[in-house]
Amino acid sequence: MKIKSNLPLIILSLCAGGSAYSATYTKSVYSLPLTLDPIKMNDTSSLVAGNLIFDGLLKFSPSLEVQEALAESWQTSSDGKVLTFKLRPNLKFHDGSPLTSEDVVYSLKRAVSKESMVRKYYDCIEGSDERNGSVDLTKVGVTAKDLLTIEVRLKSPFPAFASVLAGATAKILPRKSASQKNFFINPIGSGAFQFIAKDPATKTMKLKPFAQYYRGKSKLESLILKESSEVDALASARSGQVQDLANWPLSKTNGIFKIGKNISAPIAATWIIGLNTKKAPFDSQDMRQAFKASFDTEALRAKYYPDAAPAFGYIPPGLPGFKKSPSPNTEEFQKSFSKKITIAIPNALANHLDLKKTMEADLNSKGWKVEVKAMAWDDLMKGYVSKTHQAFLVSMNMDYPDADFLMRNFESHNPDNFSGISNKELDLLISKFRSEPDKLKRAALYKEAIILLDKLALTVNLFHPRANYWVSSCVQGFEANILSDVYIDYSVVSVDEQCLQKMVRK
Amino acid sequence: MLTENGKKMKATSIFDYFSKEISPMRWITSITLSLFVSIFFAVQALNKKVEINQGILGALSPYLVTLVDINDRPEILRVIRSVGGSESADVILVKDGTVMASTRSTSELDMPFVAPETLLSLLGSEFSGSEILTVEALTKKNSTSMAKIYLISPLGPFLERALFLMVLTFSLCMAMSWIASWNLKRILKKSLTPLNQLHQEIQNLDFTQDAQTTPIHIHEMEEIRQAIMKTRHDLQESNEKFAEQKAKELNSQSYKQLIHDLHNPVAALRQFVRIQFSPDSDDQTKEEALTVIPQIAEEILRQVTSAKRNLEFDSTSFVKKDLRESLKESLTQVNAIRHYPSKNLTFKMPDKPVIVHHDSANLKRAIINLLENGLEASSESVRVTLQENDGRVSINILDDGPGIAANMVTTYFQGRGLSTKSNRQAYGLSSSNHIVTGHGGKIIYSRSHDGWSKMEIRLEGR
Repeated sequence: MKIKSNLPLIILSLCAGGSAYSATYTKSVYSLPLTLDPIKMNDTSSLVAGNLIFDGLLKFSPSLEVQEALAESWQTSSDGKVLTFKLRPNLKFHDGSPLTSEDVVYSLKRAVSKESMVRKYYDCIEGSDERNGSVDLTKVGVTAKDLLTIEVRLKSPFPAFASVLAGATAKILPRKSASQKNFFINPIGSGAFQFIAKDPATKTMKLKPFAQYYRGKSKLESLILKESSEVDALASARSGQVQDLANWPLSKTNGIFKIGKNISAPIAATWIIGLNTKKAPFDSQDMRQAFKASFDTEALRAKYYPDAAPAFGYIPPGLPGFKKSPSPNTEEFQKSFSKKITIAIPNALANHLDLKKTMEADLNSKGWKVEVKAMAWDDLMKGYVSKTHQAFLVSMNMDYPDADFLMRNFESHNPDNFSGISNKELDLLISKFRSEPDKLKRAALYKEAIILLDKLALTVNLFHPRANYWVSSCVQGFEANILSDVYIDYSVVSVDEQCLQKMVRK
Repeated sequence: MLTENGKKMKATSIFDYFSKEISPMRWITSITLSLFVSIFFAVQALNKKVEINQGILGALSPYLVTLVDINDRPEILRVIRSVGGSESADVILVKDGTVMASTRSTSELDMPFVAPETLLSLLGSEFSGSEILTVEALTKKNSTSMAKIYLISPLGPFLERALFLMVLTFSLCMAMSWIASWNLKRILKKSLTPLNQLHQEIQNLDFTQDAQTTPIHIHEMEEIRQAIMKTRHDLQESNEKFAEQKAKELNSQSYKQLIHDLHNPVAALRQFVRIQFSPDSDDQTKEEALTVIPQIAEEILRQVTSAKRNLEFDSTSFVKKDLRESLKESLTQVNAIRHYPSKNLTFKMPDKPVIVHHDSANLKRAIINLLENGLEASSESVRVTLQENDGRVSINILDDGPGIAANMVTTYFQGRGLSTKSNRQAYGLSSSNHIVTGHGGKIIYSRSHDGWSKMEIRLEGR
């Protein structure tokens, strides 16, 4: 699972650094990557950077088509359990070393290793089960058949596995150097952009185009990820110093769109209030249902994110499991809780104070004692991981376009199970649909799971956001990806330098 | 060429005329045919395209219904992208008025669908100004959702193809009509050979009596040729009769002229004879009469001798002939005699034949006589010209001599004047006058504008 926040960290000046007006492309981000190790990425800022530096066997097109990336072709066996990938010839890492099937085997085995935070995506691979607290990587079903051919064997057919391999965590690292200490301080990948430096002082990370990139060198001179608050990011965009605000959840009514392009598209995400079943009062299903019923999500959506779609379920639109209408209210939820309930929200949200006030007023008027607590992104994440929050506001983004990705959040043994729920019926359903190759049956199982999830009331589903990506009018080739901004293909983006200079002068 | 009202008319060749007449037909035929062919094929292609579109949507709809039902947008996108790519069309799936999947742009996903404005409905599809819109409803039993799939194909390629076809057909039609026209002209030219032959026959009709003719292989023209041949033969006969008649007429005129010309000398002779034998006449008068009587008798004899020759008009020698030939022969004869070798004799004649009915032998005698007179009277030069104007033919003989007194002209023409010539080859002005008048012409004496004496033999032409 990956949590994308709308959490800009209010920080620094954007005026640092040299001339920002060459063909350098500056993308404003709410946070610099917390890690550059793909198997440890659990936040959007890290995934954005990882997707620029590293490539996988496959990739997503803007409209979610799984396409060849490092692999020039792939085949699935008739039983759906063996996938064979053929690498493109003459692939190189940024240091000039060749990229071979051994690097792929190494990287995929690493993804199922004990240290991987995303191993749940890969646990369908044969031999990936943890035994006695460790995984025997020699038995993992990923083998190199020759220098360019890799075979991946699955425990059982898993239709979404190609999507997993197109995701931002299935990146290929150089086997010889990836295990070295400090590799992820100066990572070497095979992606469109080469890591140059990360500067904590200026809160920037600089990348340059990889000249030997198999799809051709990017037209940009360099790409800079610049951490800032939303307010500063908007100011920098207005002054022409930033060309990209795709990391920010902007409303289409934002004034910034008067001077730039609005690349609008739905994204596969749901904003939720996660409810921790390990913390009272949400250890009670009735209380969760009552709390959920009290929440006027539509008013919230209409007030703060009017172009988002109402969320009647946990799964975003366009995916099996999506609920297009609310469940009929057959029960009256009269219950209330006399003790205080704290909802953690990121303070980097531009409207966090207003949001706090609205939510508190609404819920407290309905008999709850709610305190909305705005906090820094790091603190919010810490509470999320340690499951210390009673409730918290996050955006649930998807790493691959399948309801499976989101529903596994509620698997009992999943360490990423933020709700702490342990439900055997749900576990069984998840297990069933993961191995069900038939689309209709799979969809029916999703539906069943969603009904159960609704009943369990583990999340208050706020809305499904719609991205309004702002880019400078001097930017060409920018195309939204309907899965997430993580997958925007920056290798085809370019900037009209003269236009940029003109804009800055203006 | 002049028209009936005297205005100039621009003449054109039969080939140019043919090209000019056929040109609008070629353009109209080519344009009509190219329009017809392009429209026909455009409609056929559109019909085919619509059928294909409908077939594709019909085949896909059961699968899409399932995908819509389970809300599997990634798979729907994969399917419609595959269709859109192969058909170069936009495919949009709309569910409950909202775009669920589109190959056009990710920006319109989950947004209300705005259907293109259509102008007409044809062949089971809708047409906008630039697109063909094929729609298929995706219905499932017991479903409250309403889904439709739109296949929007650009109309541009069809119009481009239709335009290309139109240009191609037009070019081919023009090329074909040009080739056909060229061949027609060639055939026309070939078919005109007999016409040209006929034209030649007609041209030869009036003076080339012995022209050889070749039968024409086109029936109608051969009939015309036969008619011409017959006409020519009849004309020759008619000419001969005319010549005979003319000869008789001239002989008769000559007799009358002789009688007229002899009247005065004979009267004078009788008067002098009376004087000779009159008792009232004195001797001196008788002596004078005796002297004059032989002179007058001599003159009468000369006139009769001259007239005798003029009465020798022969019907067979009175024919249509090129007067240039007769004049050339006269000049050659005069030059051969060379009575006046020191004097210049120049002549000028038209390039074309000057056809005149005449008795060549007699007319040459008249011309030679006038030439001899001119050479004798001239100081240095004699000029001869032959002219033809509007059917009137003139032979002008000019000399730079003193000329003759105007009051003596008639006397000389009547043969009563005395010639000073010592060695006469001609028969005097009287004889020449007889010959020319016998041809229906006359001799006119005048002074030219440069002071030369001019004898003009004026005849009627063809």
